[in-house]
Amino acid sequence: MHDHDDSQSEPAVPAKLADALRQISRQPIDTRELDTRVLACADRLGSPSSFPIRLSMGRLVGLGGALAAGLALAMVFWPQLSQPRSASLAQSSIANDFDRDGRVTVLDAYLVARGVRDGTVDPAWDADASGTVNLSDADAIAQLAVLLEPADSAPTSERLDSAGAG
Amino acid sequence: MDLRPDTQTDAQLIELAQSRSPDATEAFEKLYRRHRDWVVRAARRLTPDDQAALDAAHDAFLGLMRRLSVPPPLKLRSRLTTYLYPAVRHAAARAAKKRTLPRDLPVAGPSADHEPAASGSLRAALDRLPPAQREVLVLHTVEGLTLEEVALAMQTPVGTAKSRLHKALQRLRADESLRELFEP
Repeated sequence: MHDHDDSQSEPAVPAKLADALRQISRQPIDTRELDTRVLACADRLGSPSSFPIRLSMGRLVGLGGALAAGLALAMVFWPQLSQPRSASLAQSSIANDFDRDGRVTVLDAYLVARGVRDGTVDPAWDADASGTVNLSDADAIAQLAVLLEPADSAPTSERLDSAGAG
Repeated sequence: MDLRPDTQTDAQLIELAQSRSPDATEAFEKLYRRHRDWVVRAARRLTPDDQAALDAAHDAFLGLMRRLSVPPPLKLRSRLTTYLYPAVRHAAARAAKKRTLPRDLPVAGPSADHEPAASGSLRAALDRLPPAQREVLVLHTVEGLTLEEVALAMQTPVGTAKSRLHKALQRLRADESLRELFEP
């Protein structure tokens, strides 16, 4: 509760009291560590694609939902995913298979999202061909991986290839 | 290092910092250097030690940076310090809670050995003031905010800020050991 009193005039602070207050309130603190910590982050303000705090809440929720769903699927099908793959798949150059595991999964989206967060993106991750690598690419890959990941079918990569061709 | 006189206003620098241009970083750095000491002092008055104050200041500036990086653009309608102060208070409260220290912390900051004796009395008298009255008194008198700006910073009506300042002065005036500070 506030103690309202709009009617009274502004109280005058005596000059000697003001001086004494200023004197005891201005003790220097070494700010070198603070300078380093804050200005290290400031470097990211001018780089549109690599600053993690530029995310909109809607995009975060969307990406989070897609990643959560994808990870849930990955856990369910982990035994299949962890089986050794053929040499041809391991060496494949499938579009959007950034972790080169022979499939396009939510893990590829995660790789891109983490790269965007850490500022270590690869230009090849520009999945939506927008000219920059950002969370839109991770979003697109996550949605594609989740939507096209059936429980009992041929390797995802084959379907993605055909989907991309169509 | 740019040695030209810094003539840009806070509002201009805020706009530049939000421009996503190569100048954005420099603009933020100017804002940071311009307001760092003020923010650290404010944080120090609200926290138990220097490190907690630096942590609170760090959080306040990162909060500003975060705000500058997301739409809609921040439009400065008053001094930047009135925008930063609530963030400092919030961060300081978090820091104090984390360290489970008493909430009623001395506002005057650390004492110094070279202070005159009267300063000790004033410091003690300040510590006895209710925190909200102390904050208004210090922000207005030491940091030079108008009562309107104090109200904005503390997110209270102007009348409340005025009333708190009035009561703080009344209490200090009643203290015999501070009589000389009220003499003309």
